[in-house]
Amino acid sequence: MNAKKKKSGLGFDGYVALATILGAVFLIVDQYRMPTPSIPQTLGPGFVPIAVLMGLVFAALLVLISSLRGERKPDKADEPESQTSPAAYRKIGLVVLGLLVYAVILIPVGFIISTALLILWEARIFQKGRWIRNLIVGIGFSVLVFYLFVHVLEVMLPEGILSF
Amino acid sequence: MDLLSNLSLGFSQALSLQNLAYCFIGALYGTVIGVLPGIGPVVGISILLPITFTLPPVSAVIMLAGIYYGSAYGGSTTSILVNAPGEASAVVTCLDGYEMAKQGRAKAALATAAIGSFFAGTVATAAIMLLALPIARLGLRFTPAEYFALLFLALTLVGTLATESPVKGLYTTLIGLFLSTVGMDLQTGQVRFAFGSPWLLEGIDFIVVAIGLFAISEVLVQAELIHRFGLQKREQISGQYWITRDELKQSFIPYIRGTVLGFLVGILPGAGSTPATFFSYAVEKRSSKHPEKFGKGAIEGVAGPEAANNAANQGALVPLLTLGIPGSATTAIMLGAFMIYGIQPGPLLFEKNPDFVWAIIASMYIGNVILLILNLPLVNIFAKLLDLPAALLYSMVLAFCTLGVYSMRFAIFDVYLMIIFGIIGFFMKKHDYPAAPLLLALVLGDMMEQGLRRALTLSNGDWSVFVTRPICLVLLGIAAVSLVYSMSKSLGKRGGPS
Amino acid sequence: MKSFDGKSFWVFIVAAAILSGSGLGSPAAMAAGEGYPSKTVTMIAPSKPGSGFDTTARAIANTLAAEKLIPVSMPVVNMAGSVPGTAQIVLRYKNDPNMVAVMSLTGLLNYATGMSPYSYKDTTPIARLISAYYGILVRYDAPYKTLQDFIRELKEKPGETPLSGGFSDDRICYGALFSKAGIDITKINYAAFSGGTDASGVVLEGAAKALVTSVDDVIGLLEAKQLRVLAVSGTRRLSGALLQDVPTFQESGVDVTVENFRYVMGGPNMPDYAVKYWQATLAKMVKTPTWQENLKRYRWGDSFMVEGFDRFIAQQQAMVSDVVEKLGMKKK
Repeated sequence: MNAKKKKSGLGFDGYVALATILGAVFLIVDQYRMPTPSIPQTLGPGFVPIAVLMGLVFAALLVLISSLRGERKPDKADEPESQTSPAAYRKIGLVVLGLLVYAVILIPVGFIISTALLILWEARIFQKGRWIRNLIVGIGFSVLVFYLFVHVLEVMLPEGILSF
Repeated sequence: MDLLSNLSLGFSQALSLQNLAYCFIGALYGTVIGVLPGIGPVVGISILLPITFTLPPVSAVIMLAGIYYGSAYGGSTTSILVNAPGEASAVVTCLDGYEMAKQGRAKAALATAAIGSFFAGTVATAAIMLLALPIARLGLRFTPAEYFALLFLALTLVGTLATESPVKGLYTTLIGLFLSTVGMDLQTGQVRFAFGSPWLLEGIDFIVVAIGLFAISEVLVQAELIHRFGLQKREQISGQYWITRDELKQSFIPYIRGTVLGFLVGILPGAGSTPATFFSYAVEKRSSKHPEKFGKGAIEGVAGPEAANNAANQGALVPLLTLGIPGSATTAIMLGAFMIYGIQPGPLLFEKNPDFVWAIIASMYIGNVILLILNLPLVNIFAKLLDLPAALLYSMVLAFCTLGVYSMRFAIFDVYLMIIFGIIGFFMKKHDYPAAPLLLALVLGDMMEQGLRRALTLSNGDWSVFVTRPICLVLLGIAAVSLVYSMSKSLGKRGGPS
Repeated sequence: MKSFDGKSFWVFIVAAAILSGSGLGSPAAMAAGEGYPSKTVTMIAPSKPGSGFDTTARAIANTLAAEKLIPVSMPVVNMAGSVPGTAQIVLRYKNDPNMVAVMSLTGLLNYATGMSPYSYKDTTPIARLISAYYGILVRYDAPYKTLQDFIRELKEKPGETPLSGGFSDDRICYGALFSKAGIDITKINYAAFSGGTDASGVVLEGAAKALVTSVDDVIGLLEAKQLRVLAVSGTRRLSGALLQDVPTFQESGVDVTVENFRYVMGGPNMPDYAVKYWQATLAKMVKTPTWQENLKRYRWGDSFMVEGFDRFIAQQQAMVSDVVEKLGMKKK
């Protein structure tokens, strides 16, 4: 019976709506403060952004109101089975962390090593063990792509510590 | 008849062993490039350009043309397999294509994409052959006012993309519109919402957002699913069968509609193939007897847009060949290539270089056949990729997407942006915020705004230009009807059982 | 002390030879620029692959390799755009002899509007290479016969004489031209597009009265008698049957020249010996058949200049900054 249960109060949607309204107001003010160029314009560069931001405030209010009134259909996140557990969040966090570290080391360490490491890291999150297999795939993928881009397409990829 | 003799002359040139080889190389190269996000035909063509200097112009252009329409075939492959669009025009294919793949129907999706592309490519080439000169000037009737009206109409069709909650659909549409204003405004040079970052000067790239919201978030979702349910034995995710006769029958009318729509949108300089694919999707959904299947694996949602994509690409060649006006970055590179070979596209092209033109047209027919033959067996091979162990598949998807995003302009900033949108996309999926309207608005928003303001600049501030120009008036009328229709439907929904 | 017996003398010589060859040689040797270039020289194209900078950069690298003008390799590296590209160049390549880059009028514009905090003075301009020239184009059947005809109408009713063109450097062209002609450019309606060819549609349709763009971009329409050039922006008329009868701005009574020039530059404080090397090498390069072929293929105007380039670029920056000031385009 939980699929039919209505939830009222500030849920996820409510917070999103509030954050949106705050952000939109801030951006509207920021845009107003922009200097106007002397180029003749019926609609200046501020018109559409401000109109859109005001529309966004309106839409956010609708979301907020329907959230407070419990009108919204319970979305997937409400069903207990669908709730993301802290452990799941940890896994997702690790995936994201891997990507962030990759972005940081890509240029200094170089494409081939970074990408191989990325594949190793991410594969481990999905499945324990199988290190040899993952290593082969990781290195193979990285080297193949590197060759394709740098020598066939003549598009440079970071060499990093492997520059020779 | 003049047409037949011209055509046979063209074929005799295009069918030479040499030119066939060049056509094949171009088509293959184009397909590979289309699959990679980030590296598009623009890069591919410009890199191959110096190599083609030594070739006779006809051969060179045959090869480059092969790259051009070949890339339209490859883009949807990764969209279907792993929800990672290879080109902007392949984003719509993700919506139903990936769903089909999840249901074990990947081969059907890939097959219908390939066949639809072939159908559209061939028909559109015929259209160029027969109609290029007469319709050349039709594209010119589209001034900024008409562009605004057309894109506004496209935006009103957004209602069809928001499946569950109209309010959230409106919300994400507006977010998309806002994001499209980030960057430098062309009309005044003012930089909006960049907050000092040089990377945002050109705006937020649509591909970065699409890959983040679709592909990266999907990997995060899968990570959670695997955490909860454990690693499933991956049996034949690729599916047993290829494509059924029924599915082909279902795809047929969408092919026709997609081709017509795509071609018409394609001949408008500057429109590009991406809006054409969104239009096609909306039209298919509205024409379907079971619209609720869309977003859950409706094959029409792949057939129509894929045809529209290829037809639009061919359509973009019309203003290029007949007026020398390129409609997109890709056609601009083609124009540059033509000039390098000493060929001047424009109204005189058909008169001055008939051999050249007809050889190119003939090679386009041949090229589409080559691409069909290339892509159909690839359907099985590509689908097999889905049978890879999840750990390898998803880690390679992440590497692939990151590479694609980075290679667009060699900015790590874009990679960070992709990650952020990946996280946002994950929460959007969890809480039913639809991503497609956001993407559509992001693609169209800036173009629509520029059209609106340019129209007013040219008319010196006169707003009546939007209702006195006939095409503009008609388009705005249809948009108004569409808007009213969407709103009444959503009001009906809210008043209904809740 | 037996510091210079035979064996250690030779050891010293060999060691010195190896060390100087690997670039770690004594500071004295490096200051004189001996053996330069000995390491790979990176060519930076501050834009995406496929764009103007990129094509130029690759053409340079390919020509130098094909004509064997340099003893080292020259890989081409792309950057996200002229603004972030310039920033990376200024921040990462101080005093570095092993980097060259392509830049253009756009860089001056970025600085003038404040989008980029770095001026050309923060880098080391080496030599001007190629130029593209603008034109004021009208539809073939338009009533204007000369540039002055158009200027007259623009002065009388600026609101009803809209122009179209690209959004960045084309704007500098009309800004410099019409302000020199005595028109208040803040009254001119200008519809900006992403490129000259995109902007031509509205002129062909009639919604705009004139097009401002690089003449090269629209040669096809000129040949087909769809568009007509009223005047061109360079110091001399353009060549070719189509354009030889078209007067320059100066010949038409407005004393201003504008060109979209591309030049080669080095990082901040690039060593003198490197600058001289590249000036000499590029001078040789522009005379080679491979380069001439590139010029023909891409329709670039050969405007190689070393002597007086400093003065030229300073004057261009002044003109650009003036237009930007008048149009109020400075980011505050």
